[in-house]
Parts: sequence; C-alpha cells; structure tokens
Amino acid sequence: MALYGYAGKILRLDLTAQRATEIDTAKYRSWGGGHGLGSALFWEFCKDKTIKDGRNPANVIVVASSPLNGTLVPSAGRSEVVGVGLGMYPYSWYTRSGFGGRFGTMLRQAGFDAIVIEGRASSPVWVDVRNRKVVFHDASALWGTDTQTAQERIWAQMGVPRGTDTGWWDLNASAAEALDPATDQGRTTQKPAILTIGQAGENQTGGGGLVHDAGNIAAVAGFGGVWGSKNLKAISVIGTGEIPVADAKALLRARQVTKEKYVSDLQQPDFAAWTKIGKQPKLMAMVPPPTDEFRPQACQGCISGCRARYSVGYGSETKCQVTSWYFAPSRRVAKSSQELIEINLRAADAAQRYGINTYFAITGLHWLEHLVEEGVLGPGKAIPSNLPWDKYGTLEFAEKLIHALSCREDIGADLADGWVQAAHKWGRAEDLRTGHMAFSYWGQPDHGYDPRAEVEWGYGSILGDRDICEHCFNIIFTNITSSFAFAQPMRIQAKDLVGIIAEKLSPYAKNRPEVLDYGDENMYSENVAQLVRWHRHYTRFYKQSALYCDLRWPDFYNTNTPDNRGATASDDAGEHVWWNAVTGDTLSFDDGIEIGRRIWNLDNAIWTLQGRHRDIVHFAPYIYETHFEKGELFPFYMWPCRDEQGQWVYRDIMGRTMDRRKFEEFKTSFYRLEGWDTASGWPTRATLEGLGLREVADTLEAAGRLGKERA
Amino acid sequence: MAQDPARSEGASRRAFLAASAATGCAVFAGPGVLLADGRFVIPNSAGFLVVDTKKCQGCGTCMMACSLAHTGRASYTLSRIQVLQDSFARWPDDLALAQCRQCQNAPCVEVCPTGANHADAKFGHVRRIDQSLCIGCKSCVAACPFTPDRVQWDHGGRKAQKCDLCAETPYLDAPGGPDGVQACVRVCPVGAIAFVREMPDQTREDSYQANLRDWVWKRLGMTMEK
Amino acid sequence: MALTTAMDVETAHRILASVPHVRRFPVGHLRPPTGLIPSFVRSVGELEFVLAPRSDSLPGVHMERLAAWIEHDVGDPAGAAEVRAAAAAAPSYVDACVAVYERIRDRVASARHALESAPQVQAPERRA
Repeated sequence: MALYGYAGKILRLDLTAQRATEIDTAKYRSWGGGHGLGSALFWEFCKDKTIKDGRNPANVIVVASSPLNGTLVPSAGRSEVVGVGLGMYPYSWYTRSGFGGRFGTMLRQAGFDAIVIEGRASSPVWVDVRNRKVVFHDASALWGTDTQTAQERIWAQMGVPRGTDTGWWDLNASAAEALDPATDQGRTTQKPAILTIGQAGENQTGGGGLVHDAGNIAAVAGFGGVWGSKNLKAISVIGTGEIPVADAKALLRARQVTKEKYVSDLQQPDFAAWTKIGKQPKLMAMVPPPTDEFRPQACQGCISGCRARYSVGYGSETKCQVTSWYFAPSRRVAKSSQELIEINLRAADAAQRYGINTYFAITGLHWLEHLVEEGVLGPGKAIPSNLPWDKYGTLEFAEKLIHALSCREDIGADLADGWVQAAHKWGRAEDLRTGHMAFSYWGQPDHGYDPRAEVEWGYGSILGDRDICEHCFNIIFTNITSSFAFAQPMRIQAKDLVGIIAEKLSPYAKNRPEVLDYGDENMYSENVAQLVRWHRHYTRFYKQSALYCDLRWPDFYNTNTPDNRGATASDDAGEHVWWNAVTGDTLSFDDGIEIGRRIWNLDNAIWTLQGRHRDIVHFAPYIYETHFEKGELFPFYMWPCRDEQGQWVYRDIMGRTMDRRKFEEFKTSFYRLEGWDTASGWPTRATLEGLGLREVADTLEAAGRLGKERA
Repeated sequence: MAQDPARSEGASRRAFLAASAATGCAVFAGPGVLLADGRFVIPNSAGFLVVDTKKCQGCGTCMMACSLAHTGRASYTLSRIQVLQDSFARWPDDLALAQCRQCQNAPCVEVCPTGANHADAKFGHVRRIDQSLCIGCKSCVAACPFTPDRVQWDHGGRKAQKCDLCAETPYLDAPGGPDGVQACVRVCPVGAIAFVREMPDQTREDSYQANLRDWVWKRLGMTMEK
Repeated sequence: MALTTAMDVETAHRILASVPHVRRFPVGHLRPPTGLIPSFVRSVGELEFVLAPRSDSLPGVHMERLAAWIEHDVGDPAGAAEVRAAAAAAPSYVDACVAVYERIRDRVASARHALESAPQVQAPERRA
C-alpha cells in the first residue's frame, strides 16, 4: 500500500558507532509526523526515560518533518525537534522546539521522514545525507566555528557552488553512475540544507540552539547543547527524490481556494484584516527594516513570508524576538533610529551565529541589569563579572555577552546550566518572589503574555514542558488591542468573535463560547480547562506534528471571508483537508484533535517517568505573590469577557494575580478531564489503553508511576 | 561533482539539416524550418513567463505546484521552474528564478533527434517535449544555453522534460497552455511570476526580468525600484 | 520641532540622565500579530525611540504613569504636565502616543540645546 505523503524511511544515526541504519516509517504512521513521530521514536529508542538532563548519553534526539512539508500545503514547512532538553528547572523535561526554512522539505527529498540521533561520538562529527547515502565526517576543523561559517565550509567541502548563478548539481559520483538507471541519483539546483550548532551548543549550554541557514533556529530547550554533548556539529541533507501525494488535484484546488477566499487580494489588500493566514507578507521583526531593499523570505510552502533578506548584509532571515533581544539597552546609546536598528539586527546576527536562544533576554537581561545596579554583579563584586558593563547598550557589549553565555565564560559559566539555577547559586532566589527575575515556569522567562492574564498560555506552559510559544488565541488580544488603540470600530464584536471561534473548538468546547471568557471569575473554571485541553491537543497534532506554522494557523476568524469564518476546520481548506489530500487519510478535524490527545498522553507518560508529579507543577512564586500591573507591559490588555449581565465585552484584564489554592483546584479539574490521576497528574491505565498505549501503561506500572483510576 | 555526460556537441539531425540547407534549400524540418543562412526558425510561442526576482519570497511553492500539476508528485528536481537561493548572500543576489524562456530559435528543439521536443501547434507553439517520443538522449539538456539549463532530467523516468506553460497538467483542474492557466503563476503568493504574450527581447539575457512590484509592495515596506 | 528656550541646565540634566534601575519605567512593544515584548526605559531620551510612530507596531506606554514617572522620578514637572495635557487631548491611544512623542522629542531636543549652550557643564551623571 502506498505511503502517500511520506518518504518512507527514518534514518537512525548511532553516533557512538558512527553507523547509519534505516527503519520503515510505516510502523509509526499513526503518529502523523513531526512531534508525534518523534515521541513514538523517543519512546522506542530511549532506553532510560528517567533522565532529567539532556546531556545524558542515553538521550535520544529526533529531528522530524511532516508529510505536509514541500507539498504546497500553505505554511506547513517547518521541522520539529524532540528529546530531553537542557537548562530547565527543576528538571529538563522531554520537550520540543521547532525551526523553519527548507530542512524538512529537503530531508524528505533526501529520502527520510525523520532522523533519530542516538549515542555519543568520540570526537566531533558532521553527517552528510545525500539521497539516503549517509557519510560521517570528521568535524574537528569545524568545531569552534559559528553557524554560518560551519554551513559555508560544509558546502565548500561538498563542492557546492556559492551564489545563485549556478547550474544543476549532479549528485552522481561518476558519469557511469549517471548513465545507469539503477544508480542515477539525478540533479538538483538546490543547496544542501544544513542544521548545525554554534559555540553555544558546542559548550553544552542550556541556551544552545540548532541553526539552519541564516536565521532559522530551534532555540528553546537547549537541543544545541545536547548535540554538543554528543559531539555532533551538523547534519546536511540534499536529495532529488519525490514525495507521492494521494490527491494532487485536491491539493492544488485547496491552495487556490485558500488564496482566493482566505487571503487578502494582492491587488487591493485589506492591510488591517483580522486573520492569520490571510495576511500580506509583512516582515515580522520588532525593529523597522534597515532599508527598503529587501524581499520577504519564506519557509518552503509558506503563503506569506515573515522574514527578509536585505541588501545591507546583516539581519537576514531573522525575525521576531531575536531582532529585539537587545532593544532596551540599545536605546540608551543609539543616536538615531538607523543606529538603533543596526545595533539590534547585528546583535541578532551574533546570536544566530553563536546559535544561542535569545529568549533569556526578554526578562533575564533586565535581571542582570538589576544586579549590576544593586552593586552585586560586576568586577570584584559578589557575582564577579568583567564584562564591560560601562558599555552596556553598545553592539560591542552585546557581542561580548553572547560570547560569554555561549562559551561559559564570566557569568556565562553559571548561566549556561540554567538561569534559575544560577539565581539560586548566586543567592538571588528572592528575585523569583519579587518578579525581578520574571522566569515564570520551568526555569524559562515569561514570554510576554503573563500567566495571570493570558491564562491558556500560562496553563498550557506549566501543565506541559516549556513556554508553549503558541499564538493560537493570542491573536485575539492583538486584534482587539490594535483596534482599541486606534479608536477604530472592532471588526468583529466580542459575542460574534467568541461564537466563531467556539464553532471550531471541537470536540471539547464546540459551541461553548464560555471557554473564551478571560474574566476573573472564569480563570480557574472547567471552561478554561477544556480550552487548555483543546489547545494542547490541537497543537500537538496540527502544529507540532503536521507542522502548520504558528504564525499562520489556526485561522479561526478571517475578515477576508463574507462570514468572517477562517480556514481552520473548514471543509474547503481546513487542516484536515490538506492532511487528507496529501496522505489519503479520511480524517475529520476532530480525528486530528484525538491524535493530538494521544501524543500529549505519551508525552505525559515520559514526564511521569522523568519525575513529574502535580506537586512540582507550579509557577514561579511571583506569579502568586504579585500582581500583573497596569503599564507593566501595555497600558491595557483587552480580552473577551462576560460582564455582570452575562453580555460579551472586550475588557482590560490587567491587575490580576494567580491564586495558588484556586490553581490547585484548576489542576485537579484539568487532570480529571484528561483522565489522569488527580492526586499525581499521572496518566491512568484506562486512559492509556483507550488510546492504544497499553505498553506505555505497563511501563509506568513497572516503574511504580501509573496513575490510579478514579474511584 | 560528476560532469553531465550529455553535454556533448552534435546531433545528426542538425548536421543533416545543415547539409541540406547548404544546397540552398530551406528545409522543412518537422516543426521547424532551417533557412539557407543557417537559422533554425520555428513559430513563436504564444506566451512567456517573466519573473521578478527582487520580489520572490523563495517559498518554492511554484516548484511544488509545477511538479504536482504535471506528475502528481512533489519534487524540486522535476519542477520546470527553479528557484535558486544562497541564504548568506545579499539581496538581490541571494535568489534567482530560472524559468524556461520559450526561446524564439529554441536550441533544445533544434537538436532533438526524434522531434519529441517541438513547438506544439496545439498549444500556441509552446516548446514542449512529447514524452512518448523522447529517447532520453539529453541533447536538449546540453543545448540549452542558460545556467541552470531549463530542461530537467527525470532520472527515474529516463526522459527529459521542460516547461510547457502547463499545456499537459493532468492534475490541474483548469486548462493550461498559453491560453489557459500556469500553475506557478496562479500559486505564487506574492505575484512574482507573470504570463505575457509579448516575446521578450531575445538578444538580452535580462529581458525576462520584470518589475512586478507596485504600491502594495511599497506599502509593505519594500522597494518598487527596478 | 519646538525648543524650550528657557530650559535650565538642571532640568536638562534630569531629562537626559538615567534613573536608577529600580526606578525604571516599564514599556511594552506590540508588533502584531504575535510580538509583545516587555521592556523598560530609564531616561526620557529613550522614550523618543519607544514612541516614534511606526506603521507596523504600537508602543505600550501607560500615559498616566508616564507623567507621574517624569514628574517624580525624572524630576521634570513641566514635562509631566505637557505629557498629561497631550494625552488628555488625544482622541485615541495612538493619537496620544503621537502627541506625547512630539512633546518628548521637543523636550529632549531642548535639553540637549540647553547643555550645548552651556559648554562648561559636565555631562549628566546617573542620579542616585
């Protein structure tokens, strides 16, 4: 039976023996792709799932594509990485990170759906994958190079010509190979897609990420540090293969429908449309572009690129928070807007080159500044640091800080293993109570959407493995707030908005708009628990396994359509429609949610083995002990709420705190709905077996960590 | 990197035509005419693709759409339009689009020994390779003067293929060809590919570059300059 | 741009100097559809960058608090009054941002002018 949508093989890399083997994808088909596929592979190949530090040699990392990569499904071109992470607190969970670009698409054309990375090489290696031919190379000469240099040198070593004035690259080793139909590897114009670590990964830091091309980084979770611990510098993939799809006609038709119905007309666009998938290709950077000489730059298959490549030679392909991690300090020294932009984009480049996660800077940089101001951090201080703090705000300081964090120098020596760990070591645990150190969950910084306000974000993060970074519902806030800020009429009124979204929250919250009430009275309710469940399951399958991009999906509402309904769950361009057209499956939208539930339960089983218990599922103390104040982030924080008369309004929800006791009740409610033991948060046998995971239940039972059934 | 063995001179058909022309005859060579002065002339294509490489977002959707529309499979190697990128280069030199130019005096048509590669009168004289006649000699691949050459080698099917302006696209639910839809034009999210009727200047390599950026582009923060 | 010709050197100092970290003023930056970054400023000069009008993003500044900060932490009651007046007169938050930006920009320019006109004066130091 044809395995539509899949390359059909999974590559296993045994770094210890420097051996590559293949396994068939078919066995794992029911897990979809991406994260689901990764969790199933991790479960099978990680022999010690109790590990809490990603540097343990038993750790297994999976880099996975999706059947949708490279098949023109709109904005489904990303790749997923899973494994036990690094630098989190108190444990580094089995977790995930994602990155864009062209790696997933090219991996599949090279013949593989995923790569399983096991063991540890005795010395640095990089892996060369060409049309299922796998070669391990000595990476000693690459060790110590930044991510761009590493990729360029690998291209040079492979004989890949630079620039774009290049021809076809024949992948055959000889003319004879090309002439033989049985061996002809074919030609490509593409350059190999490379995933690599920089110094931050080589030095096994918790901030170490995996970088692809100029600006795609799987940054959160420390997987770069894990690769560094395995002496794995890079993986390069190139291929000339093809992916069979079940219904190419349906694919092409759905893409046309999407463009005509859901996307703003290119000729007369609605620049202020309320939609995710229907936006024009607007650069998603926190600083203005340094020039108007740039193109939008997109991941493969994306319907609206969010990055850029500039003429100025810096800042290319980098977007969002990375472009502004140094915003606050740079404002102190910049003399002009142009200088401010250049400092920030070059600081972004430094982070990409070192391959380091810049999320620490959202709140961590302010914390460091606080310590300097307090007089406890600096030359000769209690926390010694010889960084040039007098040049704070300059590009020079930014680069030195990135270097220190990446190379375990200066304060980087302590911060490399985790920021919250460093805070404890430095005797600064109190900062987690006051909020000076706003790291809200699992040793990770507050993303900006405070758990006390945007509850589905905070709950999803603390009940899972990391800051979720999933803007599914967050778009509500930005649409409403922007309209409010401009004193413009709301494009969609609150009651209609929640109604449209609730139509799509199938099955748990279908047509239950009350789950979208962000008001104080509702924030610990079973309603919100159902919302969080839906969110976890939707993202586990559709966004992390099928790999629909967070920036463009879900498209709940869309003012480009006559009825304001978005593409999500629609019959003509919904997530399941694309999946079925590619794979030949006959999934309903709800079926995808159920697959996500299965994946989520497998993940919880892994966390349970790692040591998860509800007693450690808690936010940082400041979330409970302080209030989210007006003006702290934005002067107003508008979300849909029901007023005292039960009418839907958009209301400012600033000023809240999280009640610890009520959060405990919320956890109980959530666990009960998920079919987990409410005393521990562990999955039960009934729940696992109901998902076809009997073997998982057996493993938990043998470990003494199987959830008790509800009486 | 292995040399492409197909890059060799000579096609017996060309030699025959040249010899015949030397007798002072204008030889009708199937779909083309070899004039006495040596020029090989075929009817012009009724349409051409022009591209704006400063506008392209490098998403590769055109490549996916092309291979899917023609073969039902997603493959960059089988795409008849190619997008080449260098992630570390500066705009505008970081990206190139390589579409078939439907050349007026198409060398790939001229060299084909079987007439598989021909100006198809049924589809506005688009230069198209009839797969049933292609013997996989790769002469057309070698003959294309552009880099990358605009003829693709299907290493699985052992045939050459090229852009036919979607004349033969069994997976597109609309008629293709010069009078119909081109999958790449239709699918491009930013409108970086356009179909035109007027033949671009055949003496200039850059004549297939167009400025397709407008006020919307400028409003999005990007230059409209040529 | 309107310079305040009568700005005294001490006020100019206060406007251009940084306040201690504990007295910083929180600001945000909203870049739809997904970017909301918390941040802060420690001087009025930094606010020029925060509030400078852009077509693709919104600054996050609580105007009442800003005025109070300028008055009590920066020590520029006249500037605070200008901010209050500008914000109160604006029909929307975005209009307030633009109006306050102009006041801030002018105030900072006046401060720089005041110091340039008094060349013997030391560069502003950080206040306690």
